[in-house]
Amino acid sequence: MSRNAHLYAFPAVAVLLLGLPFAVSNEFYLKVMFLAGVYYVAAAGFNVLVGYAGQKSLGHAGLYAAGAYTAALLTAKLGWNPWVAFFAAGVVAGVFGIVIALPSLRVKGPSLAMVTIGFGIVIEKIATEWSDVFGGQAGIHSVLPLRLGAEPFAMRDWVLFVFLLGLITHLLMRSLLSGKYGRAFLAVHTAEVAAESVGVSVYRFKVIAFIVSAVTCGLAGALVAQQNQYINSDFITFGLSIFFLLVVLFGGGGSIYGPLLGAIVLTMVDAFLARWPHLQHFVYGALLLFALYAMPDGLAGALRGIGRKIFPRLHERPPVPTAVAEWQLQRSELLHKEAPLLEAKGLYKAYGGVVPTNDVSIAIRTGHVHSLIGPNGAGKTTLLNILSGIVPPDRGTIVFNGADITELVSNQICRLGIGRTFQNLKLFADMTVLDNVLLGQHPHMDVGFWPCMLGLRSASRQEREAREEALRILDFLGLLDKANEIAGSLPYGLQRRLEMARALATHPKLLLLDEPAAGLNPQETHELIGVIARVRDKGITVLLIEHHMDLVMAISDHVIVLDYGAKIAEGAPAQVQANPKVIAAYLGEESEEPAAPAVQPRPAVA
Amino acid sequence: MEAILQAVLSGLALGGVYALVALGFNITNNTTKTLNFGQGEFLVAGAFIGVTLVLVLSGKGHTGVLQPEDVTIVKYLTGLAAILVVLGILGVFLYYTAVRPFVGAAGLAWVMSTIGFGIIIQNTALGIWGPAPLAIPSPLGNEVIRVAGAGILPQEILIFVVSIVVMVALDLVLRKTKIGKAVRAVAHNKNAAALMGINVPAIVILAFVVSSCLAGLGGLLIAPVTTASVFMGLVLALKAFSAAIIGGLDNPRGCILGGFMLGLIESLIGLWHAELREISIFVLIIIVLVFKPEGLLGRKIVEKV
Amino acid sequence: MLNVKDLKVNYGAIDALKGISLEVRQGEVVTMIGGNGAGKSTLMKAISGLEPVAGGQIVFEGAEITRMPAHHRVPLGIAQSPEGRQVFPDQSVRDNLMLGAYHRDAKPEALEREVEEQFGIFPRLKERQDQPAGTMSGGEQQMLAMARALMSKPKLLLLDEPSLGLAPLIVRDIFGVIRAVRERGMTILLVEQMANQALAVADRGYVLETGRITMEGSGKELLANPKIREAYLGKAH
Repeated sequence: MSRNAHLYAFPAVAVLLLGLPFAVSNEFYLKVMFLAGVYYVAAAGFNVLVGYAGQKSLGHAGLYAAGAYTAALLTAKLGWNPWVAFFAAGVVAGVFGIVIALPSLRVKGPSLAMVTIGFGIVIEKIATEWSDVFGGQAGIHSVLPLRLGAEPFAMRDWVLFVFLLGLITHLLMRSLLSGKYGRAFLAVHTAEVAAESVGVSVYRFKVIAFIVSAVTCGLAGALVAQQNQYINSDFITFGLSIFFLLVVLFGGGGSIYGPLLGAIVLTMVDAFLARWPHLQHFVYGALLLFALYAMPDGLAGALRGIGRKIFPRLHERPPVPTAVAEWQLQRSELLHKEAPLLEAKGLYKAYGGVVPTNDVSIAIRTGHVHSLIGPNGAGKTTLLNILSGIVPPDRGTIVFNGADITELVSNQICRLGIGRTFQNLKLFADMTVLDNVLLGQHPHMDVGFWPCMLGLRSASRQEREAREEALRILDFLGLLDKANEIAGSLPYGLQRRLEMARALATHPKLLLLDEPAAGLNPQETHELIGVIARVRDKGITVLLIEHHMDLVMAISDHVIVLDYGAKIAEGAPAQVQANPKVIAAYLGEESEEPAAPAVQPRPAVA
Repeated sequence: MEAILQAVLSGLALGGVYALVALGFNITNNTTKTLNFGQGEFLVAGAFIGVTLVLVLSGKGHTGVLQPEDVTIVKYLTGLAAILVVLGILGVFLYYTAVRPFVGAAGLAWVMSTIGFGIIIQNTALGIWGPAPLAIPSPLGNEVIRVAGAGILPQEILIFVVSIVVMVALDLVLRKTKIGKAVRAVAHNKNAAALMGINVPAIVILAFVVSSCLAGLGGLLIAPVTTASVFMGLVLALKAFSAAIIGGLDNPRGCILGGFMLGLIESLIGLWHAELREISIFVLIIIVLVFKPEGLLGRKIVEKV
Repeated sequence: MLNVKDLKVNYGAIDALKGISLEVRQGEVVTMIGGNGAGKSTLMKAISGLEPVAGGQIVFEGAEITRMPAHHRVPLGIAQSPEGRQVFPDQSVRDNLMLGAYHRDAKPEALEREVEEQFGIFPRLKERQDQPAGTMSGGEQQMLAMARALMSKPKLLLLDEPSLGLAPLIVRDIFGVIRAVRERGMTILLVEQMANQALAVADRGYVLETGRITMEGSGKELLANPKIREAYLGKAH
């Protein structure tokens, strides 16, 4: 929803929500509303992990349990103030989140799913078996409910409280996800390698998302425990973890409104089927499959499509200016022209029997355009991967701008000033063109987690400045008018240029381009020469891998030739072109065998 | 000392079932890079279908109670045949509905679709058989056999023997027969296999059929020695998956090794502190995943950028 | 024997082959040369059925096979030694060869004889017949890939960049083998980056540049043509 629309809609909805409990007096309906609110709070945080960061956890019932039992034990056994216990529940759940996240997020995909299921089951078992502390099936009674003054909350008060909590959660999540953090989470989901290349530490962001989801699920658990004034191990099952997952997926991951829609619909389904628990679970399984086939973007995605058609103004993105100032690249430090910007010595990498990088040493001079060429399988991309930190070398050193970067990983190397593009495009295809470039700004956007979530002035100011610069970079590469379009919808040549824009946004000192002309038609290839020249004129040093020899010869100051993983020649373009070793590497040796007998002589079509 | 021997023997039997299910994971993982997260429910389905068939053949309704004399070897084997047919079909169905539409799609949709499929199976089973556990006496009787002072049930010996036989048979088929080599070829490189004239889609379906049948067989084997309820699937499947992870998901021998190891560890820890059994297993998995994610016998996968 | 008409293949937004036409007649050795990214492997994959075709036709011995599944094309008589060799590394040399004959319902004795025949052409494979294919050197794997393709008794042999990643001496051996196979009357379509050797062994050749055929002629003619070098290394500066 656009900024302005939200500004009007939010207070209206808030008033509506806070008035609703007064209009309803039926206890059952109030309970349903309460539960919808509870599940919304849990799902809003869970959405950050599953919908935005894309990490499918199947054990969040355990974090719900952590919150619930914390509230229960602190009030029932230790007599703490229920409000303090409530907030403590959130904190404890957060701590549990860290403990689970640190080992789990080292693995991916199905293994992550299994590990989180395992955690969920372990927590369930602990709650069931360790009856002395947790009461097992009998549970913990006399959990203290929240109260204002002498009277504990009545059902209506609970509903009001939960709605208020939901409204606050919505604002916080919206603020967090609409800026730097939201983009970073989505990047982690879409293309981890690309995210690392723009300075996003993938592991760190996965852990942050996990903690956010842990806190909200914990608070949800505490709410239920305190409202029921009772908790037992029946509340915590694998079924609950699936339910959370379903709320997010069915509602629509990756959207702020998904959890809301999911929570409302599914709580109602849950409540009205409560009499037949097996039918209930069957419906969940069916809904899960249905959501995967028919609504991969969930209810929110489906409604968004309809909403766009009926109310186009609701969804407008801020308009793109038609003209912007020229992009200036500020340098915080001057680079020496004499010393090489990057010096790699004796790089060696072997995979089993293959040696794609065999004792390679290169020196990149500041302000020059260098090209790396060689026949298929010569090891060019491996070398680039080593320089950009994706692959660690077995031996050798790399010194960049005076610092040894051999052991550093991708996101650290990006922060030091090396940016890159990829041979097989790794754009964040579902995000807008502008967002892709804004992600490139990530390494120098230093606003922290709390300012972002609380929507402080410093965060919005930095966001605005980043946006202005991103627009200028798009203009520099002729993509300004496409800023609000979805990256994946651009024609191929423009997608390649977008990847370059994203890399430029990281303020690189050295830009690595992996086959920038691949798949481009002759016209686009010709334009690329101009683009690279303009990049160089901004003071950025360039190293590119290419097969298009006309491009290489036209733009390069220096050419390096690799064959079988070793450097076989380097020098000015014309020199290299005439070098017999290079010719032999590409065309093969002059054959000594007699040539095949000619078939019908035909004029060669040139 | 006898207690330890007892635990070892039971552990080996238990491990046999884990190994069979783990092998099922391995087969589909190697050929399609996916696996059935609802495998536990397939195991349950196997157990229940087998029991029901024996009940029906004994003239009792599907919720009747079996007496030891009802369960003859013939009926047990007939039950096995029924399981293989039904689960084979279920495997094909699973492939077409939950796996094929999502192979290669981003976001691991197949994890959730196979979970969804499993939930549907579980609740269908609940609807048919209800939540109470179904008891089936072993076809080999319930007399405890003494081995060096430790007691072992004939069913446990059966489980161990059958799982070893099946594994050896599968290993032989994969290594010596034409179709086995074709399966290995597909597992390694689909395109190159197609260049040999191998019908890759058919082999993939075969993989899912075999995997589902292994789960069903596991269910039938374990039903006489455990409380076979509709809810036992998830934890069993998780343990089998853990076994596969420990041994190396992409290596069939690793999966087998992992299965037996897990059975032994679980049994021995159960001896010491019964309630710590499950927890210790999952802690073990987490440790393995953190330090050697590819498993003991697995291969490290290098991603190409 | 093989007729390709105006073939178009896309990879998502990229046009890998933009409408190419070529033909291979019985008993000929035809080569398609070109640099990286020219589309050579795409062409091979399309002919074998591993890559879907966006436009155009592939006709083999009069029958149109453009949309036929890959595993049905092999029994028709098309066999390929793919790019990067792609032997089955965990299976023995012998097993790899047997897999080559998968689609044939031949008797074990007949297959045995043919395996021995392949060992005659490729003596190094005989020494290593029970070794896992993955432990062999690149050159040996290339020989295995070719022998494996020959085991299917093809009418048309497709060779995708046999020289890829191999040392010059080994490349010489490989081309020697290609000559030997040609002597036995096999029809070959050879796709290569190493223009010199490929054109020396071929009867006719085509040059592929970014998805289009830019030159064609007899092997001798193209070998003598200076524009070949330009196609690889750009115009002289």
